[in-house]
Amino acid sequence: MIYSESMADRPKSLSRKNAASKKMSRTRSARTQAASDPLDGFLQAAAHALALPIEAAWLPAIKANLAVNLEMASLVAEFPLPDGSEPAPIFRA
Amino acid sequence: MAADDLPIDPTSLSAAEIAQAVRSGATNAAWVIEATLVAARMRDPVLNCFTDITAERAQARAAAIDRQRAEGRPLPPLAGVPFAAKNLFDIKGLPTRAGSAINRDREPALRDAALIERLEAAGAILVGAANMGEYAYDFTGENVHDGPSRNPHDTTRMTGGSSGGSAAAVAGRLVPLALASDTNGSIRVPASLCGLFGLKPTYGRLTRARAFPFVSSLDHLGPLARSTHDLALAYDAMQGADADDPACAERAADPVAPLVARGADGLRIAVASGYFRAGAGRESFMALDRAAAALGVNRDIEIPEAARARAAAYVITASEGAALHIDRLRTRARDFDPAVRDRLFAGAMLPAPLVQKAQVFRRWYRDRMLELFAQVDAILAPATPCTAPEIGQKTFVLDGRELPVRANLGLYTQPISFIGLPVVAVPIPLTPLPIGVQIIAPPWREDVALRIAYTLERMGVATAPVPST
Repeated sequence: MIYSESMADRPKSLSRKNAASKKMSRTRSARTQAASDPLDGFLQAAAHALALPIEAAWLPAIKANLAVNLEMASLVAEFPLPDGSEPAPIFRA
Repeated sequence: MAADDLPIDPTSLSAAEIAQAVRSGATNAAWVIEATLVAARMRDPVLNCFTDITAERAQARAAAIDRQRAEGRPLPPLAGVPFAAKNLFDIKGLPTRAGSAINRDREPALRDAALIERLEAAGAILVGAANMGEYAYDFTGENVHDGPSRNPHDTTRMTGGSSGGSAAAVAGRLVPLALASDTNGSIRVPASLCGLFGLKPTYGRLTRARAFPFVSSLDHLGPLARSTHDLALAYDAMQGADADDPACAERAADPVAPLVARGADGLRIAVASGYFRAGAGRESFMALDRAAAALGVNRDIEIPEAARARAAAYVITASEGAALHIDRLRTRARDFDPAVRDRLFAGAMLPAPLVQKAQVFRRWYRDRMLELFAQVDAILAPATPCTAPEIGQKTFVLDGRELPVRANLGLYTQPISFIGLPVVAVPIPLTPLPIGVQIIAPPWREDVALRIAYTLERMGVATAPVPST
């Protein structure tokens, strides 16, 4: 589970000890994954920084969606456009 | 007048025919609404179109229209026409759920959405709020809280989304007209899968005031119907500037109903090639070829960088959608549809420079499309890559790749709404299931797309099939 400090929401049946042990195990597991896949580290850091209460079971689907988002964004970003190109929305005072 | 004296079955009629019957006295609005409510009671348990039925309100409106006629006052163009509205439109007295569980905790709306007010000012009568995909982030018509809307042509299949309930209500002959929204294809995809005519107008043409948003940069509202004429009547009733929607253009109404019968003569039409000729199933191309052949179109045109346009729309949607919901994600993540929640979380993590690049590309792409429209007046393209998938189906194979259904049914609609072009989706009645073709016009030229749709309808090439179930 990626924890947002205020949002950690454990099953009530877990004892404190078990919960702490599982949390450490999950943290180690997340660190190992982060070392092997930069997207895991990015996802974990972003969830912490943005205080997003993401539960462990949701991670694979969120990661898959994030990977698609970044693939789509790369396809757009690699298209060369001049520095002076204006974005579509133009604010008018 | 007693119902026995009014044998007309309004559920088989178009909006124009109902209004004419009410004007002439062949029927009255009270009977139309009574028959509509009976049809809803009988068919909605299967189709799951409605999340609320506004029976008392509808009966009161009908009585007012019948009084108006009895007093000899002229009736407006849509007098007595029942319609449904996707449940992201504010309806006075109801919380605007927008397909979610979370929004049910909102205070009831104090006033109707602007487009509901405008349709009712033209005599139409709201009969209910329609089921939809949660927060409109959906192409399937499935809803984890309210259940899926079901395709009237095969109730084991999807309606398409996110305006699934609106489409099921019109295709299932419960109402002749429904209000829907289209951010990336949510009018055109269900129109295609349910065999309907759908109009996604130019971005900024119809006010979005008091409709729950999704992606402000891309959100459009528009009608679904079973004929071009009904689309035009509804669209004309809803046009006009509105200071309550900052994106709504300060343009006078530009009525199209008197123009549609001009047909397609003299219009330069081409078929989109490249991106729009890859990936789809046999039915998509069969429908497109049938429409092109009927119109005598033998010219192909390449829309440049359409795949990148779709990608940019995808990025802007992910980011703006997440921005809209980030507080709800923080406080009520477990109350979302998991499929929507996971996409919104992922969208919240998109770096801003990548989103801004998509907005810069959007302007470039718009300029290229306007250059194409110097050469042609309209472009035909598939609406969906396949006919209606099975409800619950998670993936399909396009061009040899297995892809998620939810994100990819709008493959051909996203590059068009991305730059706000007006589109009419027309139904081609293939067997066993219909599928749509997009008629794409330059900005502010809804009339061109509707004239071509009308021509195809007159030829019998485009028609909203009667459900066999």
